[in-house]
This record gives sequence, C-alpha cells and structure tokens, in this order.
Amino acid sequence: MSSDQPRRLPAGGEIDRSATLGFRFDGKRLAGHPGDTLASALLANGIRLAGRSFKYHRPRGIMGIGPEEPNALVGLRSGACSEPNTRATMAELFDGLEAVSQNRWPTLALDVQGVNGLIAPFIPAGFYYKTFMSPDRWWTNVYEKLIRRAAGMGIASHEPDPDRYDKMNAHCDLLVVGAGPAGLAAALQGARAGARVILCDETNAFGGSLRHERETLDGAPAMEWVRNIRRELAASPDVTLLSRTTAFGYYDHNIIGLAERVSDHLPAPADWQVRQRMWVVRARHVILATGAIERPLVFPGNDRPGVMLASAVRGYINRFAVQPGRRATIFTTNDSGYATASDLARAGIEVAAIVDARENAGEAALAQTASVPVRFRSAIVETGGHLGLRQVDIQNLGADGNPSGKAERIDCDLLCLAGGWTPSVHLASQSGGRMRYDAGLQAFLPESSKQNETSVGAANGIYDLGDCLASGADAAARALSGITQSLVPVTLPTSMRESEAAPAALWEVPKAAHARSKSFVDHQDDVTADDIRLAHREGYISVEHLKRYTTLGMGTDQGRTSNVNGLAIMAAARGLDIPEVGTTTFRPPVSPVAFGAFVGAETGLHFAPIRRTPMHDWHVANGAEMVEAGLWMRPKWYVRPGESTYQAHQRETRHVREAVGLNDVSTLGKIDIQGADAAEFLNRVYTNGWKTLPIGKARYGLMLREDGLVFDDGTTSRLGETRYLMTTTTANAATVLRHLDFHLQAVWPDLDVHVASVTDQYAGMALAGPLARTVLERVADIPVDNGSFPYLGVHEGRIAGAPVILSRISFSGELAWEILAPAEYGITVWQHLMEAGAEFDIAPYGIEALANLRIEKGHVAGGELDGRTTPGDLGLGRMVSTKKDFIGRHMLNRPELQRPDREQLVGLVPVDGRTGLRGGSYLIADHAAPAPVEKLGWITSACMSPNLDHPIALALLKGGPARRGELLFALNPLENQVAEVRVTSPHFIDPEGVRLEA
Amino acid sequence: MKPDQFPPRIPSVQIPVDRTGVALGNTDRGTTGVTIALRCDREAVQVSTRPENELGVAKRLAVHIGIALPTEPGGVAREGGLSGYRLAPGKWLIVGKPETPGSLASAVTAALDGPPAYAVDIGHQLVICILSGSDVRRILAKGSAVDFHPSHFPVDCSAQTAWAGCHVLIDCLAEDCFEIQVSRSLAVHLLEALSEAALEYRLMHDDG
Repeated sequence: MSSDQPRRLPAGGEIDRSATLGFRFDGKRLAGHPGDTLASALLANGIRLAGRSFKYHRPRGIMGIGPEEPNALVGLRSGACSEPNTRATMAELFDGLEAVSQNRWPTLALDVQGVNGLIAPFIPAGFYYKTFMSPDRWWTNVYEKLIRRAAGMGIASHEPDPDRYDKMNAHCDLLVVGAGPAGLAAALQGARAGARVILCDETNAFGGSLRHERETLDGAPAMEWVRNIRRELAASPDVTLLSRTTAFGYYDHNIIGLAERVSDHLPAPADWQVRQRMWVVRARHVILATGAIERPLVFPGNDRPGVMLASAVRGYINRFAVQPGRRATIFTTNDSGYATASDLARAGIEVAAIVDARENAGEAALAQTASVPVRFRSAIVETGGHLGLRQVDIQNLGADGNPSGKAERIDCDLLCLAGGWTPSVHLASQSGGRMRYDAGLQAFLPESSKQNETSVGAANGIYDLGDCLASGADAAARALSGITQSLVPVTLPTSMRESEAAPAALWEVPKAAHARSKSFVDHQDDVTADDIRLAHREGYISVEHLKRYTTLGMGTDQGRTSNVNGLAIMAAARGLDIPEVGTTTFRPPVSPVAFGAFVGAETGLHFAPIRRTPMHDWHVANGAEMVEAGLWMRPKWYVRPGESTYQAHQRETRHVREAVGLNDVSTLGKIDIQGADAAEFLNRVYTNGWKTLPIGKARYGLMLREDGLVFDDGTTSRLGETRYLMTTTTANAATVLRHLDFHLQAVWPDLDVHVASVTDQYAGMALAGPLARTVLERVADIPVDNGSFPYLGVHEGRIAGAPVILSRISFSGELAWEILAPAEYGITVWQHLMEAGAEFDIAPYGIEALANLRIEKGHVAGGELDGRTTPGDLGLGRMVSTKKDFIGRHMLNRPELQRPDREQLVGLVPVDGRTGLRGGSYLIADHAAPAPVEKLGWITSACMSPNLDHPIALALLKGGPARRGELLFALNPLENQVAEVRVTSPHFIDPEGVRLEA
Repeated sequence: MKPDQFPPRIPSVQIPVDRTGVALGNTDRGTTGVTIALRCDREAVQVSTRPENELGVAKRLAVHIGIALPTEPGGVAREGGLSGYRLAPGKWLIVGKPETPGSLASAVTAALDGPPAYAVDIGHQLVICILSGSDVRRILAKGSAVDFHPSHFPVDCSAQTAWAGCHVLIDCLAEDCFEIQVSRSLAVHLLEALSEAALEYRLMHDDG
C-alpha cells in the first residue's frame, strides 16, 4: 500500500500509477492517479465520510460507483466555475481539483444539524405540510428560510458562467446508448453493416460492467475484446464514438438528447474548447444498452458510511485498485453477491461472513466463497458506528420472515449489499414504451416500444454475458435489416455460462426487537420505509402521490437505487402485488445536465440574432449609442462632447424642426409587390382605396387584422404599372410579409400577385427638416422643388452616382424625403448627405429624437398600435373605406368596436407645464377619491418636447376627443407620481400639416 | 440608368483585417479545420411565378439566360457563373457574379418579359459566406438540423434552413466546401456564430 494513498492496491486497475494528481477535499491535500474518479480517490485515501444527508444530516459515505450514487454529492471548483451537487462517482479526478462536502456546518465530521437525527420522530415525511400552517405571514418570512437553511444541497454560484457550451445536431441509422458488452456488440454489428452509428457512454471509457468485473471472453480477459472492438469502431468512417456522454432524454420522432462533458475532466477548458456539448440526435433506430443498477437492501442502519453496493465494491477493486474496507460482510439475496467474496479476498480484505436471505445459493456462487462462512436464511438487522460502519448484527429469518433467535454481532467496516438488479429503463419509458413487471427477475422490464427502439442486455433483464452480447448484435441486425444491404451477422466471443439459483424477494428486513436505526429506502432524500407506510396511512397510496409526499426518487439519482424498493414497500402496505402498484413516470433528464449545455452559444449578445443596418459602423464611429429595437441595432442618440444623453436627443429633436436631420430607417420592412392584380391586392389588405394611386406616388395605408383591430401601418409606393413597394413598421416586417403571403396562397390564390422581402436590399434614410430640400438639391440628380416633387411623390434618381428611390413622405411632420439606396451604396449616399448638410450642421438623429418628433406630431406607433385599437380609436376613421371590402371590415363593425366611449387617442399636457409624464400612467378623474377608482385610460407615449418646451403625451382616453379641455390626473403607482393633466389634441405641432407641404 | 456608371459597392460586412489569414482556435489540430471567407460582389435575382407556370418560365430562362433552373426542392443548377436554386413552387433564386453590375437583374427581367413571371433584384440583400476545410460539415451540423452527411447532402445539393437563428440557404459546392447565403443585416451575427462554432477546429478567416 502507498503511504499517501493508504487504501490503494499495489497493482491492477485502469489507473495510471506513473502520474500522481493532487487534489483537495474540504481543504485537505490528497493524491490520486489519472483514471480515478473523485470517489475512488477518496476511498484510496481512506476517506469514507463523503457527505451529510438531505434532511437528517446523517453521516453518509460512498455507496455506488456511477450515476446511481445517492450520498456522495460534493461541490467542485470555486467562484464562477463552482458546480454544486456533483456525484463524486461521476467526477473524474484532475490535478488541482478542489472539492467540498455539502450541507454541513461547521465541518463534515462535526455537523451541528446532525441533531436533526435526535428529533427525527417529529419530522417525518411531509411534516412541514402539517407543522408550518400558521400564522400565514411566517411561511415566507420564517418557515421557508428555516427549512431552506436546515435542508438542501449545494449552493450555485451567482456569477456568470465563464465557460463556453456548444450544440451539435446528428443523424444516424443506429444510436447505441451504453458501451457495455451489449452496446458494443450492437455497434459492431452496425459498423460492419456500413451503417451510420453513434455509440455513447457516460463514463470516460468503453466496457460498461466489464470494467468492474473479471469476466472472460473466449478464455481471455473481456477487456481485451473491448479494446479490440473499440479500435475497429474508431476506424470505421461512419461510426461516432462519444465517451463522457449521457443520453438524458428520449423525445418524439426518435430524437435523443445527449450531454457530452467535453472538458469537465480537465482543470479548465482551453480557450478554444467548450466545456459541454448538447447533442440532438435523430436516429432511425435506438438501441438502449443502459445496463442495470444493483439494488441496496432495506434494513435498520443501512446508511452508514461503509455500506456499499456489492457491484460497486467489485468495481473499486477491479477498476480503480482500491480497497474500500479492511473487513467486510456481504448481505445478498442472489448469486451475484457471491462474486464479491473472491474479489475482496484478492484485494486482501477479510470477508467476515456472507449473509444470504435465501435457503441456498447456486453452485457457481458457492464455489467463490472459499472458507468464508455463509449464513443462509439470515439478514442484517442492525448496524453500528458513528461516522462509519463498525459492526453489523445478523439474525436468522424465521418461517414468517421475521428475525428470530439471537443476534450475532460481527465487527466489520465494509458491508456489501446485493439486493438484486434494477434495469435502467428510464429512456425506454421516456420513449413511450410500456413496462411490465417480471416477478422472476423482480424488476420492471420494457414490454413494448412506441418508437424505433430496442432495449438490450441488462437493460432488458438479460444478465448472462453471452446473452448480453447476442441481444445487442441481434437487435442491431433486426434494426438495420431494412436499412443497409450488407448485413452479415457478427461472430461473437463466448463466455462461460453459469447456472444461478433464484433470487429472494426481500424488499425490507423486518425490524428486530433490538433494532433502533431507521431503514432508509431513498438515501439521497432521506426517505425511510416508515415514511412510505406513513404516506400509505395518510392516503397517499398512488405511486405519484407517494413520490410527491415523501420525495422518493426525486433526487439527482432519480431513484435508481430506491424506486423499486419503495414501490414494493407500498405494495406490501396496500396488500397488492408490485405490478398493481405500478411505477412513476420517468421524465428527462435521466441525469443532471448543466443549464449551459441547453443554452449553448446563445448567450449574451448572441441570445438572439442581431441585425445591423448598412450604416451601422458609421453610427458607432460617430458617437451613436446603439440600442436593440427588436432584432435590430439602431442609434439611440449621438452624444456630443459635454452633452448628456437627454441633451443629445433634445438637441436632435429641435434641430430637425429648425434645420435638418438625417435618420437611419433601414430597419423599416420593405416588401416588393408585383403582379397584374397588385392594386386589387392592396385594396383588400389596406382599409383605404388603392386602385387610383398613380405611378410615382405614395400613399399611407392602414392594415387591420381579421378581428378589425389595427395590425400595421406604412406607406406603399407605386413604382410601375404592376409594381409597388410597401413599407411596414420595423417590428411587423416579417409578420406583414407572412400575412400577405398567407392570403395570396390560401385565401386569394386567383390573384396574380407576388411578394418578396427587400428589407435588406435597401439602406433607408430619412432626410427631414425645413432645410431638407436645400441639402437634397446639392446631391440629387433630379429636381426636388415643390412643383416637380410634391408631397407623396416618388421618383428614382441618383445620389453620388448611386441609384436611389426618393419618396416625399414624413414621419416627423417636417419637410422630408425618405431615400432608399441599394445596401452597398448606403454608406456612400449617407456620407454625401452628411457632407451636403454640413453647412447647416445637419444632425444625425436617433430613435429617441424620432419618437419625440412623432409624438409632437401625434403620429401613432407601437404604444398606440398595441393590438387593441381600431382606426377610429386612433383618429384614423377617415381612412376606412365604405366602398370596398378589406381584411377586418366585417369584424370592425361589431358594436363593441363602434362604442362611442371607447378609449381614443388624445394629447395630454401637464397643467403646471413642467411635470414629466410617464408612459403607462393611468388616467383618472380624481386622485383623492377612495378606491376603486375608475380607469379612464392610459398614457401610451410621452416625452419632453424641446420645441414646445414642456412635457407632452399621447393617451388613449374613454370618449377621447369629446373630452378635450378636461382636467384629469395621470397616476403612476410604480413611480408614486400623480400629475394633473389637460386633455388636448394629439397634434401638438403643425396640426394643419403646413410644414410637410413646404 | 446605366449600371456601368454606378459607384463602387462598399461592403457593409467585412472580416476584420487583423483576423484574415491568421490561424485561430485549435491551431494544433492536424486537419485543415475550416476557412471562412466572404463574397460581397454577387448579383442575385429572385424570380416568381404561379406554380402552374413553373415549367414554362424555367424553359424561358433556360433559353434566354442559359441556366436550366431546378424544378425539385434542394436542387442546384450551375451554368456560366450562375447558380440557380428553387426556393418554393414557382420561386427561384439566381445568384452569380456578372461582368457588369446590375446586368443579371436586367437580363432576367428582360428574359421574363413581364407576366406571368416577375423578377426582383436582391443583389444587395445577400451576403455569401464560403466555408471550406475538412471540418466544415461538423460546423454546419452545430447550427442546423439538416443532415450534412455526404450521402444526404452531396455536391450540388442545397437547403434552406436556420443557422444561429438566421434564415440561410446552404449550397454544397464541393465535398468540403459550402456556400451560405444570408441576409445582409444578419451577416455579422452569422459570421460571429460560425467563427465561435469553428474555434475548436483550426479556424482561418479569408478576406476573399
């Protein structure tokens, strides 16, 4: 034995003794080897106490060797990289690993809340439902906090995760989950048939249970066969091998989610490396070779550190060369437990006794006992030891199954439990398949499949090695028979078949007279056999209710070691057979998956796609603060030196009214509409008439939804005999295109109309202000005087040689042109306009100034087009034609939408002329009136108008226009603000529209 | 308007100069990894007609433009520097690098000669990314659920799909070389996402 790893065996195992890895557990320096897990390294260092239990804070040790581990949950790493609730059995050791135990204070060995064990009779399952009933306010302020402090797991970091994650889509003929003997045989069959195969296994290497046992195939160690098959699979071009990869969910259409731990086994990922990767696999057929988990036995004191699954003990000896104890007892109900005896002896561990609940064992099993005393028809009835197992009490089982006779005490620090096997059917169940209970095997097995999947090997209750291999290869051959042409059955190695005696069904050891300890069923959630009987007494007899009442099977181990025992105890309480009680529903994920893996690279600025206009870089280079507007990035304002952001947008707003400004409107939706029936089509989608629009003219249009409410607005220009260019709001560009396309394909397929998005084809810019014409004249190659280019005129021309479409339309209410240039001429045209306007200090203006301008003008936008308003509500009733049909016309005539007291658009100004108004504020008649107060409306948009020098707002007010001149109150409870306001026209500036016709 | 008098196009999407020609990511990887290049000089025209006119319009364009547009989904036609894709029944995209700017849209419009088919110039709407290298299919699989295995996505196969949330058209130019067409406004986002996905391989950016 090595002095620094006192329980490490001198030879054997898969570990690399040539290298030593340093790590810390609760601050203590320890050492291990490459190939170790944290659990095996802790055991090699003689550490048995690994954690405290969830509720009672009982000392707990390492019980399993894989994903089934219920006890040894630890926190890994630190700071932003800290990872709580990691199963020590699944964490590969690396140099510098820092691990801490959880749910204890101040130390693992001396945990103050261990006192919970003394008051355990008062805190059984569901005690908090009954205890913390009143007073009501104590629940959130006192009880919840106390419970959360007393119980629970690790603590997640609040810092952003610095690691990168990734996603991968994959398609295959055969997905094999689990690289044990059955899975390897299936993958081999697939590879040799030339199929596209993905083979995944959640551990770091292939072999499955063969890594833990000393099986032979064709007379040679089975792991030699594993290595040969792995080499062959790796050399097959269409085979993907994924180790450290957990299949966590089985979804419809044979889609399976895999979580690959790409660099969790490294101290830190390289710069280019992701930490974990989510695979979304679409498989023609899935073979589930997920193996089986050994069940522990339920008896008093079955949770002390040193009580382990027998299969795990064999694994620690054979795979990790670790001696889990010095003197062992084996408690079994079947022949597989006997194999542990020879492994223990080989590892130098004295075997004190084999305790078998049956009358006898199989010959092969007995052959492995050597001189070890076997106690048939007996059971462990109690254990002892504070922070670790020190002794067990053995008693005979009488004819009635109860302990009888005198208990015998045996000193030992290791108790190996072999309570039978539970096939891992989680994924088979998630696929929609049904389970059946096999009384002979005492297990639920997959019965039928809803999707293209087959369970093989131990996952299907097949435990003989040769049968496992055959089941994998046969399933693959059947699955591929209709897919590949070159299917030749593989020749499989042979293994020695051993006859076994039938296992005993011992779901719980009846309590002996002297036994005082609890019998734990779910070690992770501290659920005891008595808790299950309590649930039964209180009426929670359905397995789903049992699960929720007691938390049975709800931990990170998803009940791998506890579910069947728990169901059997409930069945006994109800006097039913196990299949009549049934199982709970298996849901993804089978094993914990980091949130980062689900999110992938879609974080931060890449959470959603970002759209940039052709002038994006110019804006950034010229001081614009960019802001997200839907998916687009738009300039919010351009702050000049010494300016605040408020001053910037006020200046920009004022400058457009007084001189000239330039705004990037590339984000507006643009739709090319062509066809012989284009005018008729527009007539049907807009509320107003379009058949008389001449070529070279634009018109403002309003669209309704089918329900008669306003959908979108914008201008559409007629560019040719059968060609139009529609603009939409930025937010609704895609929705409007979809709306148009739907009606063309599904409602009016007779119309000869074709629509295409050209939003990205053009850079758009709005040149606005009294000096707009002066600037445009300097760069455009066509006349822009009022006679040649009147309001709502549309002409093609050139600016700086680039082809442009010029439209005399205005969102600001000023003299303005909207200029569309092909995108890659956009920056050229923009810069020419800026240079031409330099003499007038032309102001690029952002969306804040744009909003100020449109509020001053009373133009509606997002706040008013909220999906609840009609044209009449917005003061646009005159745009609704009575001479034609259009989308939404009939529903618009519903009485409710024609009520005269509907909320309608008005303007508001503060009575004191200075109190700022806030969007979302309620409008009420009397702010001093007792509640409830009638809500008369709300503010939809508000700003400080630099041109009027006082705050203004647009609002939707009941009976709006008729209330002009009334005094109301704008109430903003969030800001605790009340402002007295006067109702006005929504058109604050130039209500006659003189300026835009200038 | 004479297209040959237009000023030069100024690409609004470019690979940063300091990244071109520099090996990034997993530079120790013993494969060619992936190279990402941009093409901003392509013309593009979308052609639409009613589905029942599809064959007639395809024949007309074959005669006048010289490209036999595909009439099956996922097909690609290539002729004279042009590539043609079927976007939907009665809807094609023709992309290429003509000798004079604007000539493709003009030529297609002239060839169609009005109803029942219509052309829309979207040459400034698309940005084209060229991805090449031994790991290119793996990178594509990171962002799209399309099956990119050579048996399912051979040379001259195309698909419209989403990649990093962006609508794209992916065209297999060669066994290890793909073209991705994306709307201009999304091109920078897509380029960043592709580069991020390629980091674990050997990544090069090419200024084209």
